[in-house]
Amino acid sequence: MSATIRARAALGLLAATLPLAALAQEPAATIQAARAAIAAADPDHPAWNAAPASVVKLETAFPGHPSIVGTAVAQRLVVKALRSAAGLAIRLEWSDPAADSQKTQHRFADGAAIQFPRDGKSDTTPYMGGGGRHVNIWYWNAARNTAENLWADGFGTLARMPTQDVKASGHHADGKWRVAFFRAFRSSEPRAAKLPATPVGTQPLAFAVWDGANNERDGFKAVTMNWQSLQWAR
Amino acid sequence: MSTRQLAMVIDLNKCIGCQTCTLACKSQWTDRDGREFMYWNHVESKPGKGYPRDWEQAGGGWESNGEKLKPGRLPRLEEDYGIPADFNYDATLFQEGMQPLRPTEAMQWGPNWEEDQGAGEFPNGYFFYLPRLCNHCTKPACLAACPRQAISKRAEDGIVLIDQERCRGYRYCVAACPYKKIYFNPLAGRSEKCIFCYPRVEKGIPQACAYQCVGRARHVSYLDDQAGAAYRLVHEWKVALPLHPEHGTQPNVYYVPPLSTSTFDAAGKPTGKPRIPDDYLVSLFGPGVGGALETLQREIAKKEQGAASELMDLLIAYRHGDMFRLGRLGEQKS
Ligand code: SF4
Ligand code: SF4
Repeated sequence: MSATIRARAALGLLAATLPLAALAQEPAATIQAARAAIAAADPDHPAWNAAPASVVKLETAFPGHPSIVGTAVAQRLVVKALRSAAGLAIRLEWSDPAADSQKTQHRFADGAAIQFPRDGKSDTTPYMGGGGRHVNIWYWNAARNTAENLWADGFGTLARMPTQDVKASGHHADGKWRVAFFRAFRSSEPRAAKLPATPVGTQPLAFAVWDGANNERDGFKAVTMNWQSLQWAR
Repeated sequence: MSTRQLAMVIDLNKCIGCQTCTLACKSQWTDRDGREFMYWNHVESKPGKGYPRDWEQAGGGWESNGEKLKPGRLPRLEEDYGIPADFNYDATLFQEGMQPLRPTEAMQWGPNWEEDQGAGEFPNGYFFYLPRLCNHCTKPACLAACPRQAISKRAEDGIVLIDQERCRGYRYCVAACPYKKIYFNPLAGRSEKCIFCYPRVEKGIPQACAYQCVGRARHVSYLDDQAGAAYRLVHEWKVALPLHPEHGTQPNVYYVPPLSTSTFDAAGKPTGKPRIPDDYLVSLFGPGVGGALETLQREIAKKEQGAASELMDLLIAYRHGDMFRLGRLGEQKS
């Protein structure tokens, strides 16, 4: 199947399965990237206490393929962001009664991801990008407890970047996952999201959460249906 | 779509359950790096739950209209595959006393767990060996199930492969394969399967399982090669049948169904009815079983009477080399 046919098939499927209400622009959450001396991929760092929290609504993603069926579990995400002189840290927190971090034949690990339009513009589709407008995805998975720096240009195209310069670490306690991501503002990876060193304005981003106990993996996930907005604190 | 299809025929009347094929495969491909539990080729005793346990009840394959995949479940390590246990070789071989050879951890299942158990009551008990590997299907459910197009079927020989660069371990293929012949490697985080020994095949060398088979039970040739055993046994003689054809994947490993001796009645007299019930064989190999067994019996009778039987000569395989025809189109040795 050529990439165009595949993309068209995916779009057809999208149109067929899309609840109309989901297309309506839900008000995007604004996440304040608070200034801090330290911003790191440490979910328990005390610096997070001072950062403002935003609540983001999650819904089951559109299935991009007939293999993907089911309703995702996670419904909301608490997001915090910190920026230091070195880079940007984002922490995701969500309820999950059990940590699924085993690597076994029949079980899936919990996961979380943050997606950015590579060019920083919100007219890139938030459903894995497409048509040459690609997205950069920071992916964390409980089995490895590290980040993968990924990119995609439409359904089924997700791939690892040559440069792995994103850090992530998660911690499960009291029925909650807290996962913190960090990347320096500058990345040598040409396909990585551009993060401004002198932050002005806003940066679109989107989120996804996988509940391993519900066999969530791949496109079976809870996501934000629209781009959310990261605001750089002055 | 592949233009040519390499096929294997396994004669269940000749398989002695020695597991040489299993070990040939394991030592070549799956004895390391998270694959220790996997058996791309294994031999199970039938009737039985098989390997992975209850694979015939684990779903997968196509709906009868051939358009939609059926749901399937993922086998578990301890309960369905069996842990790759170590054995107390040291105690058994090098220490005083008579220590029996045992696994050092408690096992719940394994690739050959029910060896020779079978079914039926004395004096009419029965079993037979069923070697299993990926069928390199013409309509592979695994390929259709993968949202990432990580699975492909090669044009030149129909071998079905998982691209390890594209696979992200989602395991839709594991659930979709009705033969449960894809294994998730937890160490690598990717799914893996029988590769039909493609690096050997490309050099004209048969698959390890087939080449090492001491029973001379395995023939390999292209299905369109009319001089090859696969074409002759599948299409000409119609004695080689696919396993569970009802799943709609169109397997390319074919089996010559097993004949069995007569059952005895209460008085100890032979009844003339085979011990392996025909309907059990039909449930495995489809409606072609009756015709295949009749042909086999007829040709065996010819041979017994000293007459020639081309079919029997083919199955006997007097010359090992005659069982394999792997030359690519145009370079086929006659
Ligand atoms: S046997 Fe299973 S893994 Fe092999 S090609 Fe067929 S569906 Fe795929
Ligand atoms: S090597 Fe041949 S005879 Fe031995 S178990 Fe395998 S298929 Fe059967």
